[in-house]
Amino acid sequence: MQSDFLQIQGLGITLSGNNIIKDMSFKVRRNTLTTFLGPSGSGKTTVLRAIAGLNTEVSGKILLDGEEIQSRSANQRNIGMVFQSYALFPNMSIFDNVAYGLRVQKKSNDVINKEVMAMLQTVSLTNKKDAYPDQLSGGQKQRVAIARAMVLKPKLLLLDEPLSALDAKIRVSLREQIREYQQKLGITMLFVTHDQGEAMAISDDIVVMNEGKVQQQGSPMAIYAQPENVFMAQFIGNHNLLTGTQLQQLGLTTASGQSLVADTHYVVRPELFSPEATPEATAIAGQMTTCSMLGDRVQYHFMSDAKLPLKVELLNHSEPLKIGVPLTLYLDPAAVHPVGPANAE
Amino acid sequence: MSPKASTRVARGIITFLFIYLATPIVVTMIYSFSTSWVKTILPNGLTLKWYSELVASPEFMAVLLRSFSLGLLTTLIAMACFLPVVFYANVYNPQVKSHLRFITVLPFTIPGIILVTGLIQLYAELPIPKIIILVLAISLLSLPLTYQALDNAFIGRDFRAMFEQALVLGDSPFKAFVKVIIPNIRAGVLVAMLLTFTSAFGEYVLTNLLLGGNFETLKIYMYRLMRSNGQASSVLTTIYFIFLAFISLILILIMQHYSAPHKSTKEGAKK
Repeated sequence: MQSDFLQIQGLGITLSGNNIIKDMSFKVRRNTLTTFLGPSGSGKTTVLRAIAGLNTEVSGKILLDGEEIQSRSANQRNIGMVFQSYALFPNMSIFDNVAYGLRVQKKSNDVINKEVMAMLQTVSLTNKKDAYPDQLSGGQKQRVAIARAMVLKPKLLLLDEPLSALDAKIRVSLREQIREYQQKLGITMLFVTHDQGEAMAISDDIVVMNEGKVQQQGSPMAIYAQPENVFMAQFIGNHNLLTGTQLQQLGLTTASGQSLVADTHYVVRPELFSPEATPEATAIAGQMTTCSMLGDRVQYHFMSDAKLPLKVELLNHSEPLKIGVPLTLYLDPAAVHPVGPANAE
Repeated sequence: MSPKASTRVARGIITFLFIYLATPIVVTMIYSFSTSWVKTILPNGLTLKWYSELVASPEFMAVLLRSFSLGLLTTLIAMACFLPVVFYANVYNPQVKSHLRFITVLPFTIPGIILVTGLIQLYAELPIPKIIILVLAISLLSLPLTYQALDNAFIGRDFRAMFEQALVLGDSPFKAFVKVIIPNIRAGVLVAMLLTFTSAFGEYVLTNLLLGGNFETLKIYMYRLMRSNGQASSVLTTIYFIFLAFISLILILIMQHYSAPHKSTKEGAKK
């Protein structure tokens, strides 16, 4: 059973006299990959460093597997960490980098050799064991950093934007590999990123953070489909943010099975509009004003007859809709999700 | 002026400067090997007598040992005091570097006589041996060289992440510093040590003013010898010059060695 493996309770962090994080709480389940997602400057890395024991001024409780660890130093927490800059030791070979922690633990040479080689095999770098960090590509360096952290079998592995310095293709391939390692080795991972696509693709759970506060925690599906506030609706994915009054102007009377409230904001994802009618859907008349090709999808700007602009995304499987020609789109009111009062934006 | 002509002029200036700077050294070297050289264009004869006499002199060995000890002690103190400070400033508190830069320039601006007077007035009442005051004062005087060489070593790598990574991997801060930081700044540390040692080894003003004849170092001995024995003095100057040239050569080799691409790789392959 997946229990709450890491519990952050009332966490406060002070840096240079400023309270960066106040009273933050969240949980991470055992053997899952949880992503810490938020815009730059939201405090993600600060929280990660506090969990690792690298911030000195921390209040509140950090419980790992039921034990309070907030007063332990970084070298006594049994937590692994992969830094954004890889932090490989340039004076050591790849083998020595991966073996570093095992040597600190004073393991025998036989054990070190066996475990390091097994880990290098997991990350497909056995042929690079004698190379030095300066000789590796960015992706290879990142795999070494992950191997170095995982070889110690830490209770928790923290990854601080590990893919941010890599190009798009390698990032996609490496994030899949990280997910594979996590599932194969059954490690609990907390992964920091500002890339929501990355978070959606690999996470069991996502904790979204902004301005030092947790905005929402849940599965990628819940985070996307049921944002709990205006920030969440705007931060995750493309969106149309409309008030109850505006939805009424479009012809809707309900949202998610409830009557519309005039002063409440509602989010409508662009891909939920359809050019084809369904029995439950409300018809919205208007015309497309612009069209952008996104590859697998086509993004349109739609101007309704009620003069409300809407973003619409349709799968790219047929002829694009014509610009400036009157047409009707259909929206199922059940897909419209309330996100909070209009003045909360 | 055509490019060829300007090149010729530049070469001429460089050659003139080289001759101007090298002539006194060459003449001193020849003089150190001469039997006597008075009112003639060339020395009357060549001999190693002055060298053998100087090396055999217990006085010379004593001043050499004193200068060497002074250089070594100053280097150790400077490294022990300044390396952790430069590490802290670069890794944890870069804002403090502007203040450090200002402080490190101060020894250039304070004349030796003022520094000595100040030190004597400050410590005269305290039971601290003057030799300790001297070592600490020379360590401070070497600060501009030591600081700059150490500071340069921290450019280009994320030392904070490396240090913290070693901590997260279970190491203590001291061992992480020794195993991860020191090997990656060793070029800067070596350069700083050599520069500090050389400046302390050849220090004259502070030593002479603070301790005078009670603690005769190589430089003080050299000036004393100059007044009594020209040849012996030129022998000492030659030896001192060769020593400085040797240190400079080591510095150049260190810089070449560590600026070569994939240096760490080549080293590691030899392990």
